[in-house]
This record gives sequence, C-alpha cells and structure tokens, in this order.
Amino acid sequence: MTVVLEAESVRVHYGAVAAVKRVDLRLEGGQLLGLIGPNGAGKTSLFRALAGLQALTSGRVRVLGGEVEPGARHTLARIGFAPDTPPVYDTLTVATFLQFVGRAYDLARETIDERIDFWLDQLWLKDKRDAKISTLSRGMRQRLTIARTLIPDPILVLLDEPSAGLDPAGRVQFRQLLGSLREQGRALIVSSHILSDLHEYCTHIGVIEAGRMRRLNTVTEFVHGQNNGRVRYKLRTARPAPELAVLLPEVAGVAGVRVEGREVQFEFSEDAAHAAALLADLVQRGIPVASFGAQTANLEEAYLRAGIRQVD
Amino acid sequence: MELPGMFSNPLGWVHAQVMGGWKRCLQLGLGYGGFALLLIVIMIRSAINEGVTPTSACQVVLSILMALQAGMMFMFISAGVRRAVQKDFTSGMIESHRQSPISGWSAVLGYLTGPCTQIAGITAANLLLALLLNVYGGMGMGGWLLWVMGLLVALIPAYAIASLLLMMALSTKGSATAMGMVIFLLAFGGANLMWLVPGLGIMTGVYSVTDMVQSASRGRFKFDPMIGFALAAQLGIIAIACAASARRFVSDARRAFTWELGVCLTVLLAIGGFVGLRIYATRYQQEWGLAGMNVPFDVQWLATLVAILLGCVIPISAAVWHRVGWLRRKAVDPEWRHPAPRSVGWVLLLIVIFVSVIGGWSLGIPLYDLSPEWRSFCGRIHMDNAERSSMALALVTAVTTGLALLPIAGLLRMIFGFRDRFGGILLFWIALAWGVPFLVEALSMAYSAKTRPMDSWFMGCSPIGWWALLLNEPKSSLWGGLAVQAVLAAVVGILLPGWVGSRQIRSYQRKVEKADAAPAAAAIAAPAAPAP
Repeated sequence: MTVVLEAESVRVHYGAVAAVKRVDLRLEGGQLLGLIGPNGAGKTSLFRALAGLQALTSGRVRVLGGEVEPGARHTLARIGFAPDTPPVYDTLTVATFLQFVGRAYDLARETIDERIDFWLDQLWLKDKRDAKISTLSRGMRQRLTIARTLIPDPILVLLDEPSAGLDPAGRVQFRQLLGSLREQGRALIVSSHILSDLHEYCTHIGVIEAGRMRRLNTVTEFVHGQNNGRVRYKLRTARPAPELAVLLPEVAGVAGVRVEGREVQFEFSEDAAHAAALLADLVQRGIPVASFGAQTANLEEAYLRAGIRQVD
Repeated sequence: MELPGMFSNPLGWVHAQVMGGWKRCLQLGLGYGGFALLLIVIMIRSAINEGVTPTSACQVVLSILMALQAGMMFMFISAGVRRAVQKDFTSGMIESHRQSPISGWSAVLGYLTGPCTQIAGITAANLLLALLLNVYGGMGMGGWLLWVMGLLVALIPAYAIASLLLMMALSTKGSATAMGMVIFLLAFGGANLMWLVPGLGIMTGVYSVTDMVQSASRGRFKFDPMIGFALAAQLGIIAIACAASARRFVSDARRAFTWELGVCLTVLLAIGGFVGLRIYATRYQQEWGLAGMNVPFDVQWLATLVAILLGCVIPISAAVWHRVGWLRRKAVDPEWRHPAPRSVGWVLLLIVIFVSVIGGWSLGIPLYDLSPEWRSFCGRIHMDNAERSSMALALVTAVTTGLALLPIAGLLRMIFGFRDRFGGILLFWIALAWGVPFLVEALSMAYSAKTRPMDSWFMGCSPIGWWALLLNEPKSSLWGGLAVQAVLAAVVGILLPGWVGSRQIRSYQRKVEKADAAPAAAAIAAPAAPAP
C-alpha cells in the first residue's frame, strides 16, 4: 500500500512546555490509527502538527511525499482535519456552508452539489440541508464537521474526538463510515475516549502520554500483548462473601482485587491449570462460587493495564 | 458561467453570505434610499421656500450626501473587515481556511470585499440620489460623474484604513479594535499636529481628499497635487498591509513582515517623509499654521528622522526574528534543511543606504539654502555647493543612522533569544539613549537659565540630540558624542548580542533536550504493521 503519512521526530513545544516529544509515525492507505491517552497528553497538538496547523519545534511531516507546513497549499488540501470543536458559520444553512467548503477547494459547481448530496445522505443530514447551522444539535454539528472534512476528498483524515456528540445510532453509522473510508484507501487517525469503539474499527492503536507515543501497535498486538501472561477474572458468589477481600490478595499471583457485592474481579495467571487450582482452593475454603471465568481481552483493559498516568 | 475573481472569491462570498447576502444588501439599500429621499425632498422644499435656488440647495445636499457616503464607507468597511476576521478566529474557521487551498492574497481580497457588501446597497441608493440631485439642480451628468469620481477617490483612504485593520486583526487574532484607528485618522488626518512630520501630514491627509470630494459635489473639480501624492502613498500602504496580511493569514507562526516587506515600508516612509520635508515643509506655516504654534524646519526634520528610525525597527525586527528562529530550529533539529536567512547586518546596511540617500537628497539643498550655519558646516567638510552638500549629508546620515540602529538590532537579537516578543526593553533603550540626553540638556539649560547655545557633548550621545546640535549649532563639539555612540553601537550592537545570543541558543537547546529526556516505557517508531 502507498505510504500516506510519514512523521519523523515531531516535536511541539509551547514555550517551556513540551506538548509533543519526538513522535514518529508511518501510516499507509487503508490503515486506521486510534489515538488514545489521558487529557492533556498531546493528542490535539499532534493532530494539529500533522494537519500543518501547528509550527513544529523540530521534525518533519510528509503526506504522499509532500512536506506539510503552513502555506503548502496543495499538500494541506490532501489532509482533512476535524477538530474536537466544530468550526462553522452559525448563521449559514448547512448547504451554503458546504458550498463554501467546495468553493474554497476549487471544486466545480456540479462536483460540489454531488458531494454535498452524497455526504449529507451518508451522515443522516439530508433533511437538514436547508436548516440554519445554529439550529443543529451538537451531534449534528459533529456530523456536519465530518462532512466538511470529507467534501474535499482528502487522502489523510484526522478526526479529533469525532464521536463525542454522537448518539448510539450515530456511533454505529460512524463506524460503518470509517470502514468504508478505509476501504477507499484513505489513511485515518481518530482520537477518542470511547475505547470500545476504537477497538471495533481501528487497525492500529497509539497510546500517547505526556507528549510521547508510549505504544504503537496493531489492535491485536495491543490487546493481547499487554497481559504478560495474566488476565482479569470475574467471580460471582451465591451469597455475599466479604472474606474474599482478605483471602484473595493472600493467594500468590493474585492482584488488583475489586469486590462489589457478590461480584469479585481480580488479575491472575492466564494459564488454565493455575485458574482451575485457584477455583478448587476457593471452593475448598467454603466460598459459594456461582460462576468463575476469564474476561475477554479488550482495549479498555489493555489501556488500563498499560499504566498510563493521568496528567495533573 | 463563472464569476470574475473578486465575486467568485470563496472567502468574500461566504462573508457576504454571513452578513446576510444580497437580500439584506437590497433591504438596506431600499430602506436607506427611501428614508434619504424623503429627507432630501423635505430639505430642498424648505430651502426653496426660503428663497434658495434649486441649484444651490442641491449642491448643499450633494455635499451632505457625499460626507455621509464617505463616512459610512469608512465605518462599514473597517467594521466589516474586523468583524469578519474576529468571527473566523472565534469560530475556529480560520484554521479551516488555512487548510484549504485559499491563498493568502485570495484571503485578503475576500476579507476586503465580502464583509463590505452591505455598503453596496446604500452606495447604489446614494448614487441614484446624487444623479437625481445633479439633474434637478441643473449640473447634469458632468456633475454626477465628478461626484462619482470623488467617491472613488475617498475609497482609497477607506481601504488604506481597512487594509491596516486587516493586518492588525490577523496579527492580534481578531482582537484589534477598528474604531480607535478610524476616529484617530478622521480626527488627526491632515490636522496641524500631523504636520510636525510633513510626510505623515500628507499621507494621512483624509481631509484634503474630503476637500476635493466636496468641491466635486459643487460641480467644480479642485485638484491639489498633494492629494496625488497622498493617494499614491496610501496605495503603497494598502499594498504593504495586504502583503503582510496575506503572510499572516497563512499561519500564526508567521510574522506579518519579512525584512523585504519591512524595507519596502521603510522606503515608503522615507520617501513620504523626505518628500514632505522637501516640498511641503513650509506649507505648514502657509496654510496649516496655528496661532502661536510655529514648527521650524529643523524640528520637522528631527521628527521625520525619529519617525523613520522607529519605522526601521520593523524590518530589523523581522530580520532578527527570522535569523534567531532559524538558529533555534537548527540547534534542536540538525536535519533542518531550510536555507539560512539573510544576515541582520546586511539588512541594516540596506536600510542605512536607503535612508541616507533619500535623506541626503531631501535635506541637502533646502538646508543649504535655509541655514547659514549649515554652510559653515559644509565648509568644514570642504563642500562649496548644494549638490555636494547633499552627498556629504548622505554620508553623515548614513553614519548616524547606522549608529542609531545598530544597538537596536543588537538588542532585538538578545530579546528574541530570550523570548518571542519584544517591547519593554526596546522602548526603554530608545527612551534612554535617544531621549534622556535631551532631557538632561533641557534641565541643565533651565538650571543655568541659559537659552543658547546648546553645547553639551552629552546631548550628542543621542542620535537625535546629535542632529539637533548639528542643525542648530553646527559649530558645537559633535565628535565626542559621535564617539560615544560608536562605542555603544559596538558593545550593544555587536559584542553583547553575539555573546548573549550564543548562550541563549545553547540554553534553549538544553531546555528542549531536557523536556524530551523523560524516559518513555516503549516509544515505538511505527513499523507499519500490516492491517489485521
């Protein structure tokens, strides 16, 4: 596949504050990178740097071989960036706003109309074509911003918190949209705090913490490569068993015990024989075990296990 | 069919839409036109009832209409431009524009046209009313064409203000206020105070334009050649402000001025200032004088010099900023391949050449003619005619301009090494090195009750004081002050910034490396793993 995005040693400093520290990235067409990290980790700064909107302290960003920098109009036009706060002209109608976007990208009038129809349909905004933007809900504005980003047909799509304002149906539809964008050979980077969504549609996951890309793997590698031979177990008892809170931490290899009523969660070896031995031991000690099983590995678990610190 | 450039400009189009589009423009035009027509009919009827001839009544109303139209043009255009930029910054749309292929120049055109479409309806109404008044008053189409021409002339100062506001608004992320500048220029444009610097008086001569416009509304065309110069200077300002705005639109990290653009501004200021001195210096006393306020030529010359030297800070600052930015980037990014920018010294040299050539040319002959003392100074440097005195003046101006600006260049290099903004230190330096010797001399004169001659060598330590001595007391001791200036220029302009600058760059490098030094658990350069 074609290499769409290459970022080498990207650094962004705001005075003495380092927002992005030597980040390297390489993304091919059809790949979708989910960017996760705590608030203030540098995700938005990285997005802005990749979109050519933020001056770099050092490093280079290239899209299809063209250097991304302020004023590189033809390279910048190949990047679609939707920031977390939708930038729109409130007093315009949806169609007029999108017409402006088409004009700004030098598209022919027929192409603009075609694309407006297409994307409004794809993003469930067809009925709102002539509505004033000021009357749209937050989710609708979010969808409008996505339409604005896609109308110029960018090869690299950067979406900062795109699903924050979307309703459940909108999120499902958004997942389908990202799938179809991937199939079209575009490279995408999406940041979100809804990790279950990212797990479903991303090919890669990048964890950014304090400006540094802590991890960058395929989703499978990320989810399964984090456990070091350990998984999280869920145990339910027939009646409340508060003694488990004392008993379990004393067992060798058990960690992260969390007791909530009749449900207990803890981390233990993924080895089935060890798990069976533990279960037998608990039953022998008179714990009324109703159910016991390892939880399916997911992105959320993997992220929490990665020990990313929250920024103060 | 595609619309011509100005009307198909996407940014202009969208801002026209944001302001309400053609529908609102039409509503405004019709509303205003109807109301104005009613007032005009009442005014003319009452004037005729009082025995005034229809022609005179129409001429008066045409003058009022022209003043109204010009005032609204200034207000609407300035406020519209500022509001559009502010809206783009507050809504975040500016970044959306920056990502699109809209060029800086196209954006400037868009900002200067789109938000101003609302005035089109009112202008159309006024044009129609003016036509009716000219026909009714018996001035015919000729009178109307003059009125239209006056309007076109008034557009130039309006756009000079608007383009300056656009530059300021883009530089301050939309927070620049329009009204302050408009009110200042309307109040002081061409006013007596401005003639302290004759070039400034001409360049901001909005009233002179108004004069012409009003004479046009009376069916007579009174063209003052000075207006031609004022309009040319204002067109120059528009070009420079638009170029700076186009740069600034592209990115907040870009300075509005490059050193080249700054030099253009300096040259415009120098030509404006010195042409003002050469041709219009005496006009102040002849036409613009105030009782009890006499501004002699040497004060005008000194004020012009100070204005130009302050203007020179812009290209020097641009060159310094670019240079320091490049050095800082290179220090933390060895792979950085952008070519090194032009050295600050070279830019300084270029400025000194422009200022001195234009200064020598403008000051030489008039000064030789005006001041007998100056002849004796020229005699000192073996000059015996006005042309040769111009050359000598150019040389002297070059030396003194260089000595005045070199410490500023050095200070700017140091300041930009520390931080990205300058201000306090530079102003402090200018006040200290240029102003304090004046103050000390004045205090000394007051203390000793002495009025003449000024003979303090301390005053010569100030670049402006040195010129004041030269213009007033050519026989006083000038060399001591000049030597002090040379030492200051060498220390503050060359030695200190070189030493402090290199330390600052190293410190910046360490700071960046330190910020990066925090250990990462597993930073991975993406190996472009295959999609699952």
